[in-house]
Amino acid sequence: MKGQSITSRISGIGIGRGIAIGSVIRMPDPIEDPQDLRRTASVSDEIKRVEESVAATAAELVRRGALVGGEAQDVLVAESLIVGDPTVLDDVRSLIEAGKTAERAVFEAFRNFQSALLQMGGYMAERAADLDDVAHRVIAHLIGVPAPGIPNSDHPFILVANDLAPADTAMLDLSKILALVTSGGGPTAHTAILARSKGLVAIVAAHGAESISTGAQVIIDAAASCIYLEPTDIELANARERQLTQKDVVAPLTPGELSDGTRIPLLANLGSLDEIEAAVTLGAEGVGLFRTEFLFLDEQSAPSLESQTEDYRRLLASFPGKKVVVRTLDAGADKPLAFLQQDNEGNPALGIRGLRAMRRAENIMRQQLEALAKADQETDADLWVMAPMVADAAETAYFTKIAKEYGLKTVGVMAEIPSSALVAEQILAEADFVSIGTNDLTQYTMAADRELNTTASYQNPWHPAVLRLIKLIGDAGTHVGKPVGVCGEAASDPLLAVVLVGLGATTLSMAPAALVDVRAELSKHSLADAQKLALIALSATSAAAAREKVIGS
Amino acid sequence: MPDSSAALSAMCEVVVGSAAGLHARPAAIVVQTASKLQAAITIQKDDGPVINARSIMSLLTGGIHQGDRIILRAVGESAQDDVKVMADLIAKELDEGTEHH
Repeated sequence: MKGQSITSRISGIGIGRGIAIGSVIRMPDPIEDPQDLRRTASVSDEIKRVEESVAATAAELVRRGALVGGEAQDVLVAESLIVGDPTVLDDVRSLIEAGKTAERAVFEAFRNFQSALLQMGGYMAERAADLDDVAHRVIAHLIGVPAPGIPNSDHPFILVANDLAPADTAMLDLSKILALVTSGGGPTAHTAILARSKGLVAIVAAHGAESISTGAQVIIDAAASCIYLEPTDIELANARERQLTQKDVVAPLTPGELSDGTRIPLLANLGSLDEIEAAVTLGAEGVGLFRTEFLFLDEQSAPSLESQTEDYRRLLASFPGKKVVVRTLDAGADKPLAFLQQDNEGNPALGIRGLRAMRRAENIMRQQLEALAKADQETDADLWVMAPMVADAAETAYFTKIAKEYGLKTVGVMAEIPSSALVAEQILAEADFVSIGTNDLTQYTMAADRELNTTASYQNPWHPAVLRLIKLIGDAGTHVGKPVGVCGEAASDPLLAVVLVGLGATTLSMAPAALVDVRAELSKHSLADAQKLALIALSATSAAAAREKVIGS
Repeated sequence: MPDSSAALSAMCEVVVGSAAGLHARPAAIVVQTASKLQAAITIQKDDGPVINARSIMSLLTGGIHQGDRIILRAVGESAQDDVKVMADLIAKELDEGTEHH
């Protein structure tokens, strides 16, 4: 957008290349904590209001549970029982009798139970978030506003929200979603990650999307990063035509290659064995990041050597002759595991996580490496193994030494901490390869918590500071002749993928749904061109400027 | 007050059968059942607090695990029948539907 203001358009950051046309449903605004005002209504009237709201909310939860079924139904039924919990209602009554309003009494009663759950830690502490949702639903009913959470609709719609939390998107019925728009969030925020992994049309960080109201007819053009608020007939016709051509054109599943023939293998990020098939279908040339947390998250104790070996065997057998990079367990206070004793850290992103956590539980890491080595012997994939959250060459040497004890051939580390970029050459002297995790690298470079909405604007891998660190790693790889991959969200942004190649990335790994777009964009650029674009991005003074300059060149 | 007004009551002891204890899905099943029974049922482990079996929050925070010996008390007209229904339920594995891997 040049200087002139076009009120009928809103720009943001488009995810993918798709286009969607449809009507908007806004995510209801979050419920604010009710103020502690003096109650004016009578005790019996307030209690009656609470009982009505509780009954209506519980019934709605049960109704929605029956609609969705499965595990989501279990969660909703549990929430309905929490809503109608007689002990909580007793507390609400006492609070109303003590002079609180119905809204405030509901808020305080649930908050008291929430702190009891939090103190118990573990599974119970995780359930504490459910109480927020439940309390907000009852309060919303009391004050007569729509319940928070994902809206329901019988026909497909475009969801517009300030931002979406993982809990929201877990409830999302994707068959009803034409597109996602968030006014907050950045390209590595949760919504963008979800959209990429599911191949949804999405625009994030669309400042001004707050003004879009439910019922509005809009066009969401992710390729142009643009929302058309009152589309003209011509714009609608163009959008429909593009939708049709996008459906018809099935891009050939060729290997990743630049226009000058330089090979850039395109790999898949996988978080479970269920995702293998989609990755193969979409033309992944292997796996660039296999996260192993799912093997551990549901367990009360570490999984056995046998069960791990079986899971790895299934993974490796799906990619005969191809590269599969497995990351060892990335646990930490932000991803707590039942069987790992973990400290209560005020700042878990800067605490004991990744390789640091595994050093404290070395037997778990050793067992994982042993299982990988066994599975490797029985299959034909080219197994690479790497450790997460590695700070320097000493930690690299620690990990590679142990991994090689088990006979693992190709052992590397993830570059996520800025320190690892600064000493990349030292690290590559100890490791066979490095894989850059751009999400964490961005978080640590910009000192911006990935989990915080308020710092989402800093969480942008286009930032020249992040790109300069990536260049340090890329240069080190080129110098010593060892591979440097990128497996963060950055690799799934087609244009940024080109810049990453220009900075020295030799492979790119991403959510399988992003492979098509990245493959198409890479084929338009030569290596010299990618290097030129990289220099342009490096010289920009902000993330937004870097992106704009690269688009404009 | 004449003692005929004293509600019928019943009591029994049972060992918790569910692997998850009275948490998660088993807790939900206990609460749903208790809410349908006529008698008011409480659960007590050792000298711990007396838990209303219709209160999911009290159960979740009650720390009742598999193998715990707990005391059920029922008060109400159908106390005898209802305490038995609840005891049979709690003695079973209530989480059979979920896969453990």
